[in-house]
Amino acid sequence: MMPEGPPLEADSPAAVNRRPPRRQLGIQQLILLVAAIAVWMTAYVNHQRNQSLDSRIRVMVPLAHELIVDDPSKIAVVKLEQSLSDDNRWDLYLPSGAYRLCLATRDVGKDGLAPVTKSVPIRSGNHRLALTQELTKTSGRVIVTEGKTVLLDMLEIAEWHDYGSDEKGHFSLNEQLPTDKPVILYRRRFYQPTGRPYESVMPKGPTEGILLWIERVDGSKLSGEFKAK
Amino acid sequence: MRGRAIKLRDLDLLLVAVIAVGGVFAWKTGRERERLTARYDRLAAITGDLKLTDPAKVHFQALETGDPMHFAWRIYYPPKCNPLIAGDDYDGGWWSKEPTESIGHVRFHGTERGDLDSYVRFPGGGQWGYHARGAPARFLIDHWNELEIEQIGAKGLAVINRDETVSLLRITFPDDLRDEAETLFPTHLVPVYYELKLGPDAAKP
Repeated sequence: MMPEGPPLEADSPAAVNRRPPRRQLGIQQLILLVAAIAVWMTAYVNHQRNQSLDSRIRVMVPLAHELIVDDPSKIAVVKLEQSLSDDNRWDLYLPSGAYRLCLATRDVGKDGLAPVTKSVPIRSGNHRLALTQELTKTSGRVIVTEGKTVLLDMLEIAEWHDYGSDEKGHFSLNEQLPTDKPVILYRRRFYQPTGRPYESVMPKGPTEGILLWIERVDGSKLSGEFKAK
Repeated sequence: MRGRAIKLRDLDLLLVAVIAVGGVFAWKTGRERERLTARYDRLAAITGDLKLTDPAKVHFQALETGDPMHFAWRIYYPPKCNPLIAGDDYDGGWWSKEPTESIGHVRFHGTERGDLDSYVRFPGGGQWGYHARGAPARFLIDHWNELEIEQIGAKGLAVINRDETVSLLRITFPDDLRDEAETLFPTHLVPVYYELKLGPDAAKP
């Protein structure tokens, strides 16, 4: 047993030596600490800003009517912002395959398809289609264009459209759709006269109207002209 | 001394690891920020960049359309707001529990027959309007750039109390056109030819 010596004075050299070494940060550790704070602050600020941007973008997407292709194997379609009463335009993406753009002006039901009046092949890729209707006292004309190219042009008699209508343009929000089902872009059904003066009704069954859709077709049955496009 | 050196080296390694992990996060969030900013800018070029100053108030920010006869706004309506928009060619109201952001349009256009029509579209729906035919339509189209047009939000964001009635768009014949306008239009359309209002008293004349 070592004899216990007299208590040491707190700040005597011997007492200082007995204390556990105080951890001191050198210049190197300080630099590392500042760098650590800086990178984490950057990450935090970016994260906050990204959350804010993301919430603003969610609000803007439906307003912008922007075509978004999430899955290249599906059809993507969006109707563009309407600023005129007969302003019907769509941006669409068609995956690889053969398709045709179809127009019907007779026997248009409340849902489903109708006998094709005119059709035109449409290739895969991105398109902007516009539907124009010229309904006058003497005739009715339906034109579908892509840029300055007329894809479909159908002339109807005046009685075809003379009694008012219900219309429905689809895809005001961007949608992704499978390729094996027709994509109906526009449906308009005209009222029919009852026989009494100034009275017309919407028939329950198929009636005159406008139905515009895109459907996939069997590529092996395509004509040379179709394939060339 | 040796133990201290080892502890300090441990601390260095720990700090380096913290920096490395933070750096990865900072890089990833930075790339995401670049992507989101580019997407936001692209969308804002289409929809306008509306910055809310008071979420309890209605906001109107005019948009550039490139067509002097086409007026558009990016609009914010606060929650549980029951806005009414009314004018000669439009009467629409709606209600939403949630805040609503939308784009509103007033677009005049000459037809192939020489008439002047309009189309007004707000969240309450779109309405086609017939304005003028023949000489009056020709007069309006020919002098369109001379008409005095006041569009809310055109000079910057307009912030409106929900119980306030304001004019969204007012089109007035200037002094030098009034005499001729009076010969072509009913008296109630001169000098103010067109006015579309928002607010509880919008439908009142």
